[in-house]
Amino acid sequence: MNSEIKILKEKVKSLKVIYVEDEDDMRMGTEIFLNKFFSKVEVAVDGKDGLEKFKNGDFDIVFTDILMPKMNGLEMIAKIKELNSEIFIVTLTASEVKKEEIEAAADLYFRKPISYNNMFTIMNEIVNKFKL
Amino acid sequence: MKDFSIRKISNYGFFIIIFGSVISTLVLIVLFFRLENIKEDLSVIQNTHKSFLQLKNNTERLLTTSDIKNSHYLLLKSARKFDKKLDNLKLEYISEIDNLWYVCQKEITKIDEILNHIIFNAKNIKDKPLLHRRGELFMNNSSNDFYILLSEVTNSIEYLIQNETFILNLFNDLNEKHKLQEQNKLKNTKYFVLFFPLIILTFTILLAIFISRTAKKIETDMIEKEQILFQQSKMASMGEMIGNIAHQWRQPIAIISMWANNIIADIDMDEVENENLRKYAININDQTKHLSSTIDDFRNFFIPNKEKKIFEIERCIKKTMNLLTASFNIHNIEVITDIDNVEVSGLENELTQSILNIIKNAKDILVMLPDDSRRLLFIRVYKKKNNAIVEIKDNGGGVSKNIINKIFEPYFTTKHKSQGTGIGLYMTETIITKHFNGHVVVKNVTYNYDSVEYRGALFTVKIPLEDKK
Amino acid sequence: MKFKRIISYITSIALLLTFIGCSEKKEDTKVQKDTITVIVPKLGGKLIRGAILEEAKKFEEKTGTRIRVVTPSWIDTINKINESLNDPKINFDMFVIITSWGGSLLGENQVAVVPDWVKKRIDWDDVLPVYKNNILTWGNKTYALPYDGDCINLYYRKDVFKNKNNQKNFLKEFGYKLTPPKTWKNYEDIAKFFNGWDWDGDGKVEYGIAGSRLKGYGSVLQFFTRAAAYAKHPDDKAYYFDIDTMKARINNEGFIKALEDYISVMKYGPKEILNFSPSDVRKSFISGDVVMAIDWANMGTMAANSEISVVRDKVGYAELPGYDKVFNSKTNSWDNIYNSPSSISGNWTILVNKNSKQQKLAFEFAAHMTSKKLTSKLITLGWTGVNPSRYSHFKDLSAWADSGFSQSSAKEYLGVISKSLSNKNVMIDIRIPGSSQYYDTLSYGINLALKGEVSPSEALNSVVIKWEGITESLNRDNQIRLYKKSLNK
Repeated sequence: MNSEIKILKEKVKSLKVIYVEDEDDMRMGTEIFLNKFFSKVEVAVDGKDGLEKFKNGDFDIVFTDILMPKMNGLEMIAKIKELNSEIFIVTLTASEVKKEEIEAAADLYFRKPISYNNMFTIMNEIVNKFKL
Repeated sequence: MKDFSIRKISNYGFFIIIFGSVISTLVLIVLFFRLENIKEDLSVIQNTHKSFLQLKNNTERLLTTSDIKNSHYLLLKSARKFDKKLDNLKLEYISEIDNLWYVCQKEITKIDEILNHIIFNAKNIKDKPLLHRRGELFMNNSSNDFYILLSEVTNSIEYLIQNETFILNLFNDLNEKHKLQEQNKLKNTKYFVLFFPLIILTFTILLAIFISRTAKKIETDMIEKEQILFQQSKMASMGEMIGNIAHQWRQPIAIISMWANNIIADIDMDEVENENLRKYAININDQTKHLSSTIDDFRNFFIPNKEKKIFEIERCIKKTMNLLTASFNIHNIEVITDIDNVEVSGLENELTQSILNIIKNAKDILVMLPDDSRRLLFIRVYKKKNNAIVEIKDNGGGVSKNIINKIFEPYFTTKHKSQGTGIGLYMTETIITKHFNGHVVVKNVTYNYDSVEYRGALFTVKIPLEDKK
Repeated sequence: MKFKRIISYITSIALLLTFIGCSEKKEDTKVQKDTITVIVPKLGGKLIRGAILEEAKKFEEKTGTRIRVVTPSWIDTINKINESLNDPKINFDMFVIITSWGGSLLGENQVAVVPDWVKKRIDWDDVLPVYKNNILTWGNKTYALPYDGDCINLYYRKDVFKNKNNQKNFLKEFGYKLTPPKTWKNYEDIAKFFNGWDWDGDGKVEYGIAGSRLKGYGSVLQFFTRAAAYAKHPDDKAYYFDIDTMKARINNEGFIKALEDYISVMKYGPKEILNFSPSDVRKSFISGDVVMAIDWANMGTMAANSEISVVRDKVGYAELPGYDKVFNSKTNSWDNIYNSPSSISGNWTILVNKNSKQQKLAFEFAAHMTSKKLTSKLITLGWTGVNPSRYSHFKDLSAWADSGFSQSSAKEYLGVISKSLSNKNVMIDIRIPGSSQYYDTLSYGINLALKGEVSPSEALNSVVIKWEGITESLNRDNQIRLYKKSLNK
């Protein structure tokens, strides 16, 4: 595992990521984790904020929660996809609500708590997707 | 028996009592009239009897007095009188008396004819009774026409007297019989006057005993049921609460998980720094604190209070909100509070439970609103005229007219079985009315908030405050 | 469930009591007793009706029924019986009447046949055949019950007859021994012998005979009793009328002779004899005024137990005198045979109304009055007027002692009666409708002859004319039929 992670890190390092999560503590912990892998990690606090920041930047991957105030994850994903249909979406959510919809909208769907292996899988998927 | 409602029993009982009273009154009335009839009959009989006695007397006198003309006249007169009276008599004996009277009347006619005979008028018959004269003539061995007629008439009178005696016996029997009848009827009446009220009294007592026993039974049943309901409600609440716990724990667990991932990542990437590790660990501990406090909250909620004490209603609201905040957030429900400092006396957790049920009810309505509309919950606590008022208002559109009256009934719910048991509001009402002596009502209201008109249900809990001396 | 049951029980009991209270006394009319009316005429003293009245009271008390007894005068009884035949509202359930009065009732088919249970109850086999064959049956069916049996016999002073001097003197005067008369001629001889002197040493003049001559049934029946010796042929059941034509016989030679002798003997009796009723005859004999008399059996008991009797144990009893020839109405000539019929005349029998609503009760009371036990008691008491009618009446001599008869007297008395009652030739009363009319006219006619206003044959002839008239008015054919029935032919 050890060396694999290092290799993965190297591969995905250059991708640009935006992470959307309304819960502060959750956001903090996950942001730190993502920063270990990606060089650029933008954070947003809700769907509206996420959309704004997305428009103003140029991102490859979107990590997002679903249940958020002001604009929920699904809506935001739809709007982002309008802007960039190739964008890679990873959803991290606590509830099972609207599971099929989310799976349809996102590329990857994981339920919290996300385990270390889950993250490993996500990174691998990203590598595959971006052919790195 | 168990399903007999007190109302049915009392109705039954009253019906029977009234029925019984009516019947016994009717019977007494009938008996009374019968007695009157018998009295009447008896007096008619006695009258007729008297007039007959007169007739018999006159017949005998005809034989024994010297004033034959007068007694002849009297005989006819009393015969006519008796005949008239007899016509008015209508009884079972009448045919027997009739037959005998027919015979008597024939004899009287015969006697009348003979006494009207010239010979009788010619002879001075004023000076000796008929029997005397006959005796005399017999001693003298007379055989003239006068003697023959005299014999005839005296024989006829004697025959008449024999038949009159028979009639007299019948009258005596009649009197006896009617006296007996009257006695019997009196006895009967006495029995009834005594008996019926006794029966009704017994009945009433039995009924009263029965009612009280059944009432006790029903009360016991109800208390049992209530307790079961309370239990069920608590179970339901618990179930919901456990759901809530699970829900509330999910986030801290996810966060702890992420911090753990961070630790593992650092290790895997050979970038372990003590500073960072420490930070990660502290964050984990913070999260466990959240986990623990949730448990405490829920635990506290479910410990039944043993004693009444004075507490602020605000605490109940706070506790409720603690339990439900996470859920509210997820569902975008805005909570607007306006809570005054109001103290009441009672079991705190029960009040909390009641308010919780109301708020949960509001929440269930609000989550059904479309995603783009605001979901508002207003909580107001204030004092008014020695009562504590708790108002919980939503903008869920209101309760439809046909169910607003049933909303506090147990087992009444508009939700699917898996989502609601219908006990919650019933519990609320029971607790508020029975344990806090207050009441809770619901009505639909229309109001403005942020310049928008909303419509929803307003639950008002009113609890009387204790006099503070 | 228990409560429900209790409640329903109480409710139903309450309702039941209500209805009981309301329905009320349909049962209490047991004050209405079963009632019968008995008619029995009023005779002198307490004769005949006395025992009926007494027993009726006892019977009432024992059975809880009502026995009404009416006792009109003799004439009224006949009238009332007739009334009851014509007026539907006049009814009697039981008749206590002399034989002849039954005629109209039987003729109108108003009498109930005596049922077997009654015969059994009163020991029918004990009743003497002479009554069963002649008095109690009609058209060969039993309609009457025997209350007073009776027959007419001769009573004489046996002490006076036994007197040696009397014996001697009688033999001297009449040429034959002084014994109880065998014929009516002897009867007149003896009457003549003892008439007008003091033969008992009491200082008073005594007479030969006493006999009923007062106008009335007593005399008529006693006349017919005497006439039977002259005109009741032993071979002919009919006596008063021809059985096939209802032609009255009473003016034939037999009857005329009988009437002549009946009148002739009067001179050997007390001067009041013309007004003697049977009670007067009895009084006369038992006070020792006359040496002989004919009478019903009453004479015997009265002599024995009446307070005024001075002849107790001095009475001799004999059968009626006969006649040494009898008139044969078939040949219209005298048959020279000694004829001595018995007279069972003037019996009192009990008849029950066929249409009585209480027939059973009437028969119950009738059976009681004519029972072996009761009649055995009554025949010993003179005041009852009830005389022997049964075999058993002649057997038990002890009962008679209670009424003053010595055993030997009783034996003799009963012996004579018993012999009379076994006579094959008996004279009975007229038992057809109109009997009272027949008797009345005869009574009237005879009375004229007794007073000497007409001759016997004139009297009887005029009576016969009246009798024919009566027969016609009652429909001769019917009377013929009924006369036959009354003779059980």
